[in-house]
Amino acid sequence: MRDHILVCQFDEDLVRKFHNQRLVIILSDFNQVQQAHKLVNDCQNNLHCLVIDHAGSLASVPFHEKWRGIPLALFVSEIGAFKEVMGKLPLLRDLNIRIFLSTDNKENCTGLHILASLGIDCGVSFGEKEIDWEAMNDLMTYSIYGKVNHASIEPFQFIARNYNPARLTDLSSVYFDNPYTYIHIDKNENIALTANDLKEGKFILKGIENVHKIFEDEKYQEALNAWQKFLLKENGCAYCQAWRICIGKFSESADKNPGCRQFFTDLMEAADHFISVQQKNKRKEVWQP
Amino acid sequence: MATIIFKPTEKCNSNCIYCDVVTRKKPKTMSLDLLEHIFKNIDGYLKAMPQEHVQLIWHGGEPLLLGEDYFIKALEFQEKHCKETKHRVNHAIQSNLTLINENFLNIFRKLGINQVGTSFEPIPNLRGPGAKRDSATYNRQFLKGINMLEKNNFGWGFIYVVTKRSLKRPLDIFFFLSNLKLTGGFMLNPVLVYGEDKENIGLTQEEYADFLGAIFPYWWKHRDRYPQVNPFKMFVENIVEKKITTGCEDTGKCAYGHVYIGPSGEASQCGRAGDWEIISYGNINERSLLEIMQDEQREQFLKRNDILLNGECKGCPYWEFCHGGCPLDSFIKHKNFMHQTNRCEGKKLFLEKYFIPITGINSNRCVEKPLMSPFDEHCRA
Repeated sequence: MRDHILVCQFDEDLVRKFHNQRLVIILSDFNQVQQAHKLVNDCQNNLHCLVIDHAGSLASVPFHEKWRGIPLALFVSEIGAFKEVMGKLPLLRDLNIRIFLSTDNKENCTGLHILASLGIDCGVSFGEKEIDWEAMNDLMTYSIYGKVNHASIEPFQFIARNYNPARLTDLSSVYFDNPYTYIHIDKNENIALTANDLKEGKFILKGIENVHKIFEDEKYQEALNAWQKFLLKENGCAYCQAWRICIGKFSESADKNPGCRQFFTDLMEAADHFISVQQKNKRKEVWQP
Repeated sequence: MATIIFKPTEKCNSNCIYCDVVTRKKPKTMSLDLLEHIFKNIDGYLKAMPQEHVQLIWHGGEPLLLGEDYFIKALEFQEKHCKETKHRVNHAIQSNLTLINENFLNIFRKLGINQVGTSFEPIPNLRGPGAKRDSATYNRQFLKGINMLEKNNFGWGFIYVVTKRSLKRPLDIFFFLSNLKLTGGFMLNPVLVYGEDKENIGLTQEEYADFLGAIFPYWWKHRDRYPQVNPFKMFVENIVEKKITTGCEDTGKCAYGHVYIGPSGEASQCGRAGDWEIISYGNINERSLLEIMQDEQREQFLKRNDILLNGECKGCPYWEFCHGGCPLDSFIKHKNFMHQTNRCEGKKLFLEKYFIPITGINSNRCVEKPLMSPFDEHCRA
């Protein structure tokens, strides 16, 4: 049983309490990048990723040479002025960064296509507005099947890489929100299973020293089996062939916008294809001198 | 291997629409004295048959209604009476899982059980307790049971009973079942109705074949994704790998291999024969297990293979798939066991209409040698 990766807002006092812990730190300001990175290392923790949710465009982000090597997940509203982005491209390509664009802006599918084609790893951030599943399918097809060199687009690559027909594949991991891998903690050391639970005050434990006890917690076990609620609904997502890779993430909008079914079915086919290509290209391993 | 379909209780906490046992007005439960007597008999049988093994399949009703102490007693009786033979006794269990707990699992481990057979129904109000069949409560309990099995590293597989209600959406049901158990691990069986079909759930052979046929093209294309779905996997193994992996009703080998023992010690050929009271081998209180296993009525099931091969099934290219089908189905239709069953038609239909055209694989199995009784001297040697 491996330890969880803890997700928290950047709070110096809180970070100082961690030791030998893998951390995802959510920043509120670009100025905190180096500071957070240094503090996590100084306290002998392992930085999994720094997350910045920026309300502005990619073009407006003040990228810095000193960010090199720091794992970053950057959520932005759109690409913005392309000329600005092109000017930052050499540095951007060098950073350990993934840029997420929201589905709430229709132009962003094209934006992600462009970023990936420029060699910048990127990802879809599922917003609140109706999702254009056809455009999503085009983007996924490019990401998985495209033969021209391009960077990865999440969560498609995550599904393709981690898909195993014998178990569920939860794309929430891409967004640090899968309780199997990540748990969330606030500055008062309240622990919750998802970002939303933390926001809504649905805590399951309190105190950093209790993190390892989470495996014994009944609510934790229930959360890991939360997917089973779909098996109790009469005509719900569990009747869909692709449920094993979406686990009902879009169940609330599925009635009005049922395109998710075809999209995830095609994504599952793509994952099968990805596995078969990998198996075909697998080289024989011979002993090495 | 002698398979004992062991039904120590007819009581059940569910009221499944397709079950014959729940119709019993006064469901019986086996006494501990009789349970002990059965283990003495198993020992006697195994000592008389040194090459044999016994598989004891705990069935019901719902066997977990017997309580944990009952299984502890069974273990004690086995330890006491089968000292030299217990390594040749394998236990298996069929349960609806709604009552399972860690205590049961600890006893099961001691009995050598590491997987549980069960069944599931996603269509509401076909399974569940009470007159209205409260499937919501049932399914919640069932899922808790599954979680407990997986947490304790127990395997599980299940049967889905295809009824008339399943026919509207075969693929949806398949998707649901394969989401319940991702690699498959389930069997799509047709409902068996004996007597009047009061609930209107019975299927024609064509309906069952078409149900399978609606799923099969998808399964065949994605069989790596769902490797353990039967009867499809069985058909493929049977044809391609020449394995005989059909269910008991199609093997043609049940004659001396199966026995049913009910809660009062009544013995019959198998669970269905016992539930439907079609054939009686007497009572284990009066006859030993060895005598029951050697009952001369069994010979007719062996002869049936020859009769069918030289008669109704002569030249049938699908003989190895069904061996004329279950003798009990023949009995239902003809009031004797010596005919092929109408389930043969269903299999033939499925193979010719779906399996062969879709896979391009043709059946070319030769007819095997006639079977012998394991009690024949030369066979024992």
